[in-house]
Amino acid sequence: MVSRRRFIESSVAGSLAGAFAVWASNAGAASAVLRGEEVSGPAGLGSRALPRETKTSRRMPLYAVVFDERFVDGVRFGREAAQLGLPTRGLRGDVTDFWYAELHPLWKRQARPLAGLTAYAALFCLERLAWDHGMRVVYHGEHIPFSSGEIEHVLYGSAKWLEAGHSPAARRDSSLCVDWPAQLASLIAVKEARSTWSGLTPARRGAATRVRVMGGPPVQRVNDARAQRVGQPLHSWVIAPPVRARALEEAV
Amino acid sequence: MRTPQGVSAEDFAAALAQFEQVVGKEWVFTSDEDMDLYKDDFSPFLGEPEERWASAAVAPTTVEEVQSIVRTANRYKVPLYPISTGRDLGYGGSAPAYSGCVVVDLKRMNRILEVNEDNASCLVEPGVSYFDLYRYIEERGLKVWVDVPDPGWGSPVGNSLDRGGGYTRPQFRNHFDAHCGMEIVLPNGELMRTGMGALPGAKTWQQYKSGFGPWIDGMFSQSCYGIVTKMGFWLMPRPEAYLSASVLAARRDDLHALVNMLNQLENGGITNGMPDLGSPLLGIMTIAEYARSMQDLPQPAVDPELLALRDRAAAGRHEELETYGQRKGLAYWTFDIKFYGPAKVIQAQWEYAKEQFSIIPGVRFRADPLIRLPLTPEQKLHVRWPEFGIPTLNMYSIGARSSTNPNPTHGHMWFSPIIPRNAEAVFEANEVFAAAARDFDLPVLRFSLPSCYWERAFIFIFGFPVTTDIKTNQKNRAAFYKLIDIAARHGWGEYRTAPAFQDAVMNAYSFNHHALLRFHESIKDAIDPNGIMSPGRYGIWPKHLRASRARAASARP
Repeated sequence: MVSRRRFIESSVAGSLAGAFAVWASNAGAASAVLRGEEVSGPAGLGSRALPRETKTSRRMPLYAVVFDERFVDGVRFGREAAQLGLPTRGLRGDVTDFWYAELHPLWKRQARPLAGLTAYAALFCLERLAWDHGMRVVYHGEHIPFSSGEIEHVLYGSAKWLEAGHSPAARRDSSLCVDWPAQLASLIAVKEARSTWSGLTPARRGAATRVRVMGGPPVQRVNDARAQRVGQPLHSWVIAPPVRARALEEAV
Repeated sequence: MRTPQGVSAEDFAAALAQFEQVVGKEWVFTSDEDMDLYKDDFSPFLGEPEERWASAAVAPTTVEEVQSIVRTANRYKVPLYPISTGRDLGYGGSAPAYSGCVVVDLKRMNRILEVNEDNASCLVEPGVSYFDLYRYIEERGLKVWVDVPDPGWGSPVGNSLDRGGGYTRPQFRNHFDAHCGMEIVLPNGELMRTGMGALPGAKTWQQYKSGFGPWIDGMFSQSCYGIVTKMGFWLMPRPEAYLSASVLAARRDDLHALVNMLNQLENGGITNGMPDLGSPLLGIMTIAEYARSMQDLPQPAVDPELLALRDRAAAGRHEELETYGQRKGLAYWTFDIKFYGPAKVIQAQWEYAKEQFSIIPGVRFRADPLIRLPLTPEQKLHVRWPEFGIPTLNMYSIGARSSTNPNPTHGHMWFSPIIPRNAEAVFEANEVFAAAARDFDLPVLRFSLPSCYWERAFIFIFGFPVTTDIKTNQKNRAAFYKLIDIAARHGWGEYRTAPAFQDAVMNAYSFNHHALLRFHESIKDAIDPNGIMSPGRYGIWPKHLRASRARAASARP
């Protein structure tokens, strides 16, 4: 029990490992979702605020790739994404400016996918804001550094994503995971080129793939006095209009 | 899909079909995946059978649709739970108080119907967010501010109905007090307007609050008596300038004079921003200091001598800490006071405040540079936005795992008792809650300071962690219930709480054999005989559920 001003240090944004432990314990549930591939339709409850004119379409270009510039891996991810021609936005933890200046007016007009590698706080906020515009987190990876130098990647999401053969989890090849931020950016670029943002299912509890990469470099702080402390997990994610359960039912 | 308790599958299906006819099939949600979004992110029952769940959700866009939904719900006795934007994290989120309710999600009712700059007022629907209203004002260059909570992604209607607070002048930062006129769909589907809105053709709905006859607006806050579909608010005229200043006092006992003086100055309208207490010696930052510290700047290490002296002060050895403070130039207390208004007036107010606080021996003063408004882009980078009517989500970026916070929790539930605005109450509450924390094996409670959201009363806001470990949550809930009782025995009651604790808190407001609750229940029975509107919200249950809820409460540990 602590006062509010102190408590916020240790509360809201920190569901990280605990939540994942719960999710990871609920394995499975991935196979059925494949039946809904490429089905488009009004997105889910979250769709509670989705304007009718913004129904999903097959071509749903990524609006931006977001990275947290306080982290070496975030910068690496963002730089690679930019080199691959993806539009990027750097954050320093707080999403308010990005939300207010860009996403809020954009998403009112049209639901557009977003990808990122950030601290959990940014994902927490953007996910809930996206719900109101009919979008969901369709892929979520947690990249947990250990003092041993290992990084554990815990991945959740659409079977389409996890089985795409591009993720570190699917490869299970530690050497390929050393530069995982760049690989992640490459994967997003491939997805973007293939226009495969629609047809994914929400990254719900289940469908978790856990892989620990031995010897990978830990999440490092940027050589900047304002950089976040070492040891904070990063989260990779994709937010997009999902296939709804109802759409799946109708498609089957 | 789950069916509300006591409603047959056939009736529920029929109700849903009628909802679909009203709002369209795409705006009625029943899948588990969709319902997950209406769970409380910070539920204290996370993963337990008691975790609140919704059976369905329906998202209307007009008042007429809301009325149709309510009438259908009455026909089939389907319980409803309206939410505006559902951001009430720490106090229940968007989850219904009674599992099985159909959530009436009002986010699509997001029209800003009027912003009147001359009258400094607005009329909005429940789905309008603070960001929406702020953008509307900014894009038009209107010289008014909306007082925002922190974080600011909720809605003025929802936050004020839950009696939330903000950070500017008292009459605006008390969000419910700032409202002026409501439109409500009653539990029978009838539409009602309050205040001057009850007078057809009235031109003063957002100008005069109380109208004629009993003023009933308060009945629709923290309540289960209707669905508010429009609400007016008074906005704060954009001030010419802003000043943040601090009063620094050296001795523990100075808190008595500090608080008394603050009360005089605030009640007299001399200071008019939200005051804030801190203690450099005890390591308690003011909100402003805390915000600055969260800009990822490395924090200086705390002198080990000071840490030791804090422990000794906790055991009653305050003089040593005071002596250390005098030697190091550290104040025991800082009292931040804020001023909004014309620059000349602010300067005079600050001078007068300094004169008054000077009765405290050794008091020192510090003032930030006066800020002339509107903020420049450069100034905006360095101020705390909610104090300038600017919504922000920054709070969420400061709770992440770090070297100083290696085990962040999943969420939190707020324990928020109101206590008298005097130093005696602050010291007593600290003793009482620290003892309770020890008794209940909670993390050690360091000395805490209350907040000044409301005039004339302090509020302590303690966070209980919500974890993913069921046993820990059960332990914390049990402690929470006991703290409600302990607080009540000292005359302190919570101002707001999550559904898990609403029965317990309402039970504490028990004067004259629960006369207040019985009055609430009489109203409930009269206007909502089918008990379809937000059953259980703030501890008010419809007749057909009262006995079972009483049994559940008596079985609580």
